[in-house]
Amino acid sequence: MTASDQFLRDSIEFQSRLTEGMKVIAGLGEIEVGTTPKDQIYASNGLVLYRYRPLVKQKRKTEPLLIVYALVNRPYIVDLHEKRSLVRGLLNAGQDVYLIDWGYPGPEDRYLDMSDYVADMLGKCVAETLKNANASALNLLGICQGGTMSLCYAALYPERISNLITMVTPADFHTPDNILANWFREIDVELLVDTMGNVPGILLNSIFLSLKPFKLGVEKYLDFIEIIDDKDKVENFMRMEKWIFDSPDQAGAMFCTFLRTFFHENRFVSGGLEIDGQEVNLKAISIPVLNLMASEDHLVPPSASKAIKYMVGTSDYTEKVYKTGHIGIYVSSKAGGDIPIRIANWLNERTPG
Amino acid sequence: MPPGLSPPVFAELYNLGNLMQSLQNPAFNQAAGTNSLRQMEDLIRTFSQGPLFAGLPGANLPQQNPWLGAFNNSAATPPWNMNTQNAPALGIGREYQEDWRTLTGLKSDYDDALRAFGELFQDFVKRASEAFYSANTSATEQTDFSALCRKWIECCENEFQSFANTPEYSTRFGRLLNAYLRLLQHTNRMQDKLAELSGQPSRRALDALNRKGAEAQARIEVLEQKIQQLESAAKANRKRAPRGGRSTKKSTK
Repeated sequence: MTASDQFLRDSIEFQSRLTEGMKVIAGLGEIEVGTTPKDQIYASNGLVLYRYRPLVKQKRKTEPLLIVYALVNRPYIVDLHEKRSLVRGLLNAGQDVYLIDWGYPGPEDRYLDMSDYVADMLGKCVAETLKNANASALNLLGICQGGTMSLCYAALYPERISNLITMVTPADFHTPDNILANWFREIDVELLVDTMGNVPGILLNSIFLSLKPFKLGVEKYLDFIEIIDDKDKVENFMRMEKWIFDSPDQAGAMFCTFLRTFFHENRFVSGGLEIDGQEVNLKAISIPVLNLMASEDHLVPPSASKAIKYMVGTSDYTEKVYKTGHIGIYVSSKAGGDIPIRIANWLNERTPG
Repeated sequence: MPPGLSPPVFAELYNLGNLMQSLQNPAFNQAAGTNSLRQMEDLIRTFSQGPLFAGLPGANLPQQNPWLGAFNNSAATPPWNMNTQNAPALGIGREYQEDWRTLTGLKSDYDDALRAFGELFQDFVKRASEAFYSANTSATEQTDFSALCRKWIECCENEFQSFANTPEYSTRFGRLLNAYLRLLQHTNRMQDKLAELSGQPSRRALDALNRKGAEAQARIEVLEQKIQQLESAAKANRKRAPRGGRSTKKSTK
C-alpha cells in the first residue's frame, strides 16, 4: 500500500469515527457535575453559599476555607467529577470547605456593581461562613476573577482573613503577553453595557474561544474523535463541554466597572481604586499569601499573576507555577492530587494546631 | 447522521467534519508530495472568516435584528433616503427618516470595520500556509491523516498567537466590536420607539424599572443597617441600665 493509499484510508476512517461519535453522544443522557455532598447555608437573590460535608475525620482544628470563583463561569468546575475535583482533594486533606455560587444574573441585576459584589455579597458570605463555622477569621481561596475580588476584599477587611490563596488570578492587567487584556482595552465598555444591559455569556465565550481558535475550535474535537470508544473519557469531555458553555450573563454595571477599573486603568498598579467608598490598597494585605499559577494559561498569563508578590504588604508570600493551562489547574490530575495537598500543607504550617 | 437527531445538536462535529473534508484535499496533495499552497490558503481564509475569529455573532445580525433584516432586504437604504442622504428630513416622518439615515451610516461603518478586520487576515493566511508547508513533516505525519491535521493546527495556532497579539489586531478587533455595538444600540432604540408606539414595554422602560428596584434595594439595606445599629444600641443601653430602676420608678408614683 502506498503512502497516499494509507492516507486516504485514514481520512475515510476519521469521517466514519466522526459519525460514530454522534451516536455515542446521543446515548449518553444527562451529564452529572458537582456531586460531592454539600449543604446550602445561605442564599440571597440567586447567590448560594455551600458548605461541603467532610470526607475524612479532621485531625486538627482548621479555619474554614471559602472558595470565591469567577463570575464568568460556573463554580462547579472545582468539583467537576469525583476523580477531578479540587474540592474533594481539599476535603480529603482535612479542610472545611465553603463555596460561593454567584448564580445567573437576570435583567433585574443589571445595576449590581463591584461594591455590591465585593463589599456586600462577598462580605455577607464571609460573615455567614464565620457564623456557620463559629470562627472569627477564615482562609480565602480566590480563583481567576474571584481571586481579584478576594484581593480587594482582603485589603479592605484584613481582620476577617487569616490566609489568602490566589489561583490563576490577574493583578497586573497590562503585561505585554496578555492578549485578552490587549483586546479588551479597545472595547468601549460603556457602549457595550448601554447596548446589551447585562453582557451575554455567549459573547464572552466567543471572545475567550477566539483567543485560541485552532486549539479550542478544532483540535479539541479532533481529540474527542480519538477517544470516542472510551465511555469514561467521552463523559469527561462532555462534562467539560457542559461547563465551558454554561456561561452566565454578566451584571452590566459590574462588568463595566471591572473592565474599566482593571483592564483599562489597571488600578492595582496605577492606584486610586475605591470600593464602597473605601480605598483599596493591596499593601494592607499583611497576612500570608499563596499564589498558584499555570504556565500555559492563555487567559491569565503568569506575568499578570506574579505581580501580586510586589503588590501585597506581606512578607510571607509563596508562589508556584504548574505546567498546565487555565482550566487544567482545576480539572487535571494535579487538581485532585498535588494542588489541594500543597494548599492544605501551606495552611497547616500557618495555623496553630 | 443517526436517525432522529437534529443537526444543531452536533453543530461542532459537523463543522469539524466539513473542515476536515476541506483539509483532505490539500493535505492529500501534501502527502503525495505535491505543493498546494493556494488550496491551503483558501482553506485557512475560509476558516478564519468564521464567527470564531470575530468574537461576536456578526454573521447572524439580520436574523437577530429585524431592522437590519429589513435594511438588507431593501438593498441597504430606502429609496427616498438614497438620493437625499445629506438633506434635512421633514414632515411627520422626519424622525423615522433620521433614524434610517443614522442606521445607514452605522451599517456602513460596521461593514468597513468588518472589511478592515478581514483584510488583516490576508497576511496571517499567507504566513500560516507557508508555515505548514515549510514545517518538517515526519514520515508518520505524511501518511497519518490525524497527525497531519495536528501539524496544520499547530502551525496555524502558532502563527495566530503572534498575529493576534499585535496593536493592529487589537485596534481592528475593537473597532469591529464597537461598530457592531453602535449599530445594535441604534436598532435597539428604533425597536424601543416601536414598542412604545404599540403600548408595549420597551427596553428603556424595563431598564428604568430595574434601576428603581436597585435604588430601592440599596435604600432598604441602609435602613436595615440603621435598624440593626439602633437595636444594638438599645441592647447595650439595657445592659448598662442599673438593676431595679424600674421598680424605683414605680415606687415614686
